[in-house]
Amino acid sequence: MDITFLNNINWVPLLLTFKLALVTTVLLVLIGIPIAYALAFSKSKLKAIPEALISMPLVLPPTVLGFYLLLVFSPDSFLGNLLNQFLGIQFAFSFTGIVIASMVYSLPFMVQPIQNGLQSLPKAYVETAQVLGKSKFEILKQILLPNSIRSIVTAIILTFAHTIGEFGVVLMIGGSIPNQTKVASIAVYEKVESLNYIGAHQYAFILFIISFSVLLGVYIFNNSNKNWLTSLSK
Amino acid sequence: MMIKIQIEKKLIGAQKDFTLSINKQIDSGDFVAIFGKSGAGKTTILRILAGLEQPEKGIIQVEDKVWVERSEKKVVPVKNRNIGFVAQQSILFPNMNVKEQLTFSKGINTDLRLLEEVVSIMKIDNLLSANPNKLSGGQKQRISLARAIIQKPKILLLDEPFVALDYGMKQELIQLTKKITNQYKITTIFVSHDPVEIIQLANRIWVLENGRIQNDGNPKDLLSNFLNSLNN
Amino acid sequence: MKQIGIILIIIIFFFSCNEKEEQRLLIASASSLRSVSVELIKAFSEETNIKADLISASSGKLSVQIELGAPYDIFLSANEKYPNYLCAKLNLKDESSIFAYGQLVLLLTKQKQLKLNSIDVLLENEIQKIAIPNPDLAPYGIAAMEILKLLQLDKQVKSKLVYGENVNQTNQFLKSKVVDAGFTSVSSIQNSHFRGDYKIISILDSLYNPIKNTVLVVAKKTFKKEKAQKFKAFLQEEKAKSILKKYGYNIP
Repeated sequence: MDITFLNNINWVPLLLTFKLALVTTVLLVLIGIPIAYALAFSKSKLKAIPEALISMPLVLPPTVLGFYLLLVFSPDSFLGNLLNQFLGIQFAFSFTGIVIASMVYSLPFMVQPIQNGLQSLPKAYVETAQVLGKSKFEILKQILLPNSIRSIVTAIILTFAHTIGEFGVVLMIGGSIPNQTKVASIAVYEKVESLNYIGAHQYAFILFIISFSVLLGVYIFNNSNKNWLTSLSK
Repeated sequence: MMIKIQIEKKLIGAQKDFTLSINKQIDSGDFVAIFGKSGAGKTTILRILAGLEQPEKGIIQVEDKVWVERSEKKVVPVKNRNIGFVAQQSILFPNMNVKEQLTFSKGINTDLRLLEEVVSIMKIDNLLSANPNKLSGGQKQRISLARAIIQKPKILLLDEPFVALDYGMKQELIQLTKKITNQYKITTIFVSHDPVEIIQLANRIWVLENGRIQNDGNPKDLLSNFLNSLNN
Repeated sequence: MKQIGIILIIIIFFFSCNEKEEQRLLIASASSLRSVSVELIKAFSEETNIKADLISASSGKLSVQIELGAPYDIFLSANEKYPNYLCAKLNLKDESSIFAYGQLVLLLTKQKQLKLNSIDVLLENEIQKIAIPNPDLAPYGIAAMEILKLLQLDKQVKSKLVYGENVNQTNQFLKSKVVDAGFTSVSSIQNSHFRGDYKIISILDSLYNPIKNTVLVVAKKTFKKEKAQKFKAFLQEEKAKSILKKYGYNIP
């Protein structure tokens, strides 16, 4: 391997990829936990409807998902026009747009593990905490989340990894605009398309090394017996 | 009068369904034992008092506050009732050490003296920084009991709390229970299968059968008849 | 709690340092025009000092994106169909022109002794798999099917056909030699990828409808539109024409 290969690489797509994965994951944690909580403790008979909806991104082809998001958010559409006029925001073909698309695409990866984790906690925990005078929010924060921290970490890992590998959705709604929406997966694809296999190998290799290291680090911590994870939630 | 409980609820029985129907008053300081077969509805009564389940009809009034009034759809939420509850299996939270379990109760932050007092009475000083997973059954129940009374609740509900303990542990805990309920003047309702425990602790016994309280009186009287009948 | 605060600050920071107004031209080209576009843009920038970025994808996908508001300034399409559609939809009159004619070529991945030196070689037994760009989507695929039908080979070779999404994917099949033959653009074989082992069989352009590579100015903002029109004009100049010829395109 040429030692100067690191100098020739355009790092921007890689930075964009990790930025996208980080922002998407953090935002999904913030909205995923309330959604998982609502689904885990809802007794409604209609619960299956939101659950199925949330699972849809698992089933839809990514390009199709990207296409429909584009329809909804394009500046010429009703919603897109509204957003543009009143908030000055344009979602399609921007970094914000691919964040939103990624959040939709990876939503089930965040919600489902957390929902399962919460549901598997003994019902007695909630009842005991209620008898001890705690509000629902206090119970969530002090009992439920700390005791399902492994599920939460799993959800974070899956979401992060899934977003790094995203291609079809981002290409469709992002437009592959250099420095804004051209992420590493698209850059690799373009290199392959133009038969620049060496360039493709370079990107793929770096992407693999960094992603693998991040995931490895998280798994090591998750498997350890230390209570650092529970102390993190205080 | 301390607690007025007048409730009805349909329950599903092993052989047939029946209606739980209670109409009783409990005086302040009473230690009432509920005695009956499995499935008679004993635990349900406790859960209804705690607010974890609701009766279909009826009223629950504690001193001058109405906790449940079904006809007016009034129900005071669990967390506002200030009740202590100890179950058969201690429910200690895995993410906290013993001291944190005790201070977890609402309101404890303002009264550390109370914490010290309870810790010393229950003899758990040496366990404060321990992880609940590493404790014995007896130790766990002591902590559950401590946690239940640490807010100085007026009412304590015990659901066969000694059933999983060996004889020595059981006696120790019975003594502790007696001591703290007297010291803090707590009205206690206690579900049990064991006549010996009941005689040691309770001043009143309800015998629950077919959803109704068939007998209500002094444990020594009612139970000595029962024990005699076993020998014949 | 502190950790959450820090993370929130990071997110806000990331969101804020982003949406600058792009000064550079965004040129969206069909996949088949990618390699020649790179050189055309370079020559254009040298001449006019106007910088441009290239995005390439299939003409169909780019067309959808443009219709839905993509911020591209120029669309280089491999055929007329999509630019015509967009002109009608977006009311762009006189903004398009044909700048080159794509040339189709047949490649064989082996130098083995084959009996025939013309397209009929596809009938031979040694040719088991033939790559072709998807005729539903790709102009070069359409042209390839036209030839096969004209020469009445289509029914016989139908079971041998392997469809690539576009010219580039077809090239990948050829380069990795998972196919024995394939139709691709002449521009694809201009670089070194297909030297050596590959046998080239040229195809008369009278055998298929011309592949009309069309440029369309889609920029909306005035200052971008002016620059885009300069690029469109540039494609008619000698410099551009010589680059296009070098890549095997015919000039109108």
